[in-house]
Amino acid sequence: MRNGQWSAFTGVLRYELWMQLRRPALWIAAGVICLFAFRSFRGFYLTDNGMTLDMRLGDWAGFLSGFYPIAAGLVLADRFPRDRKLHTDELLMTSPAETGARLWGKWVGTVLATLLPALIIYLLGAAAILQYAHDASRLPFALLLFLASDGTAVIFVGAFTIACTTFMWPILYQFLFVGYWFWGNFLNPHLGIPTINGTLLTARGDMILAGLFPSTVLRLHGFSAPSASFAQGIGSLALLLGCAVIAQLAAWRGLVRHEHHQ
Amino acid sequence: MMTESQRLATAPMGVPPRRPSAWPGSLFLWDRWRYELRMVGIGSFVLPLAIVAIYLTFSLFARYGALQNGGTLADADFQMGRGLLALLENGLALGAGLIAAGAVAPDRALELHLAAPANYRVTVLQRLGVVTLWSLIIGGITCATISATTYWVFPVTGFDRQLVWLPSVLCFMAIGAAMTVLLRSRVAASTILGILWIAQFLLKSMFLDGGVLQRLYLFASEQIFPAILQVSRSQWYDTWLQNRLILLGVALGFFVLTALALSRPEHLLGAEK
Repeated sequence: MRNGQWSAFTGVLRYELWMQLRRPALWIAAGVICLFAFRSFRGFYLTDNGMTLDMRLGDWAGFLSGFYPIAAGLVLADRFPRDRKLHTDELLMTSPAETGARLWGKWVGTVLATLLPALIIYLLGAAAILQYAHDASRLPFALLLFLASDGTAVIFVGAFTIACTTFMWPILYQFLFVGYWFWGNFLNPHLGIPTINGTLLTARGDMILAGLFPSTVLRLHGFSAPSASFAQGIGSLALLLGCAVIAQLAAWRGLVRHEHHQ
Repeated sequence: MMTESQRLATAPMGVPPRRPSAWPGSLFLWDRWRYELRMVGIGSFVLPLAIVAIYLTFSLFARYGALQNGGTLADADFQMGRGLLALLENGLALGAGLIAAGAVAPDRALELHLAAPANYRVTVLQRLGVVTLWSLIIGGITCATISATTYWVFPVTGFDRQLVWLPSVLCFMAIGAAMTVLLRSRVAASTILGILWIAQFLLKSMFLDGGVLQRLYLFASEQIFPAILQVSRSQWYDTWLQNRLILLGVALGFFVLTALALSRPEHLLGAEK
């Protein structure tokens, strides 16, 4: 990236980060997630049910990475169309900041900001679990779990949301996204309907957790535990992050082509 | 009063002046409806049809999958029926909710609109009425079509069949509209709808644990099916009907809340852009 473009990228990143953090919609969504997530929290994570500390932390991280990205994707769906709606895109095109710097800055900035409420919710739960187990030394491990599952999921969802809304009607995108999230992460693969659930492309990250942190897998009676090797865990992580970067590259190319045709 | 020659003289170049209608009232009404339809956007009318097509495709996959797994033709039809039940109860509902949230979103020229003689609340409720009517038409036709085939699997007849889809569709629409107006943000409302939708699946055990949440569970028909086929009707029908009627009441409540919130124009200013 050229010198001027790097400062444009960091400028856009900072702006998008603060703008996203100041949006009431983000915190309202986090509040609604909290209402659902903590309602049965004590009954499952803070009782003696045979789960180890790692299992509790892993399941909490996995639960949040299956739930929170829905909010992340829906909240981010208007970030790109907003520029068009307010006609600031025409103004921005005349600025020295190139399309790439604006697009990548928007992605990184909004994703970082969207991860903050998730981190707060996660840490609240993780702190309660660590307190219950009287073992604060696993806090760094808990943070690693968050980055591997929730971090990857939000990065992936953020990239596709920004990329898809460069050309798609936001309401259509929101419907397809919610449908995709259920189809690609929760639909039973044995139903006969083709799904990517259970493959390396499962965005909620249970393959990553099972592969990289096997001690977190819920091997209890009545629970279906995902199994993955270390290589599969790395593969899933690399594939999801790679797909996120490819989505951004495709959107960048599409936008540049669109601008040349204007 | 402008004469005919003055009217012709002041008409913009190249635009044929409109002849005064013999029924100015009806012309105004038609123009107004046409304008409102364009404001809501063609996408709002196409999306429910696309949802029907998507769910139909997945239902066909489920049917094909059942046959591939060695199931009988009856098993395959049953799986397809379950897919179509999901379309009625959760597919149409999410789409309708997102569209309703968009229809009542603060107008781009809100300040101008609030200064005009036309009541903003009436305008927004008309837009909401248009998309609600369209969702009801699509839902009604879809339900009637499935009922006419062998793919209707939920064991109710008559008007009860409408209660499979109507409460969830109206609830999602009413909650979407109310949240958009109260929070002054379409995105916040859409996010709440999305979370609510996925929570019905992820936290099913929490909702179906009895008590208040069970009565408010939005996808009750789909989740109690096919287990109810194994028990007598008296064991589930009253609970199911109660759930459906309560949800209709909840939807009505949120629609009233939307109308009340729209009556405070000063509250609508300063919405998230």
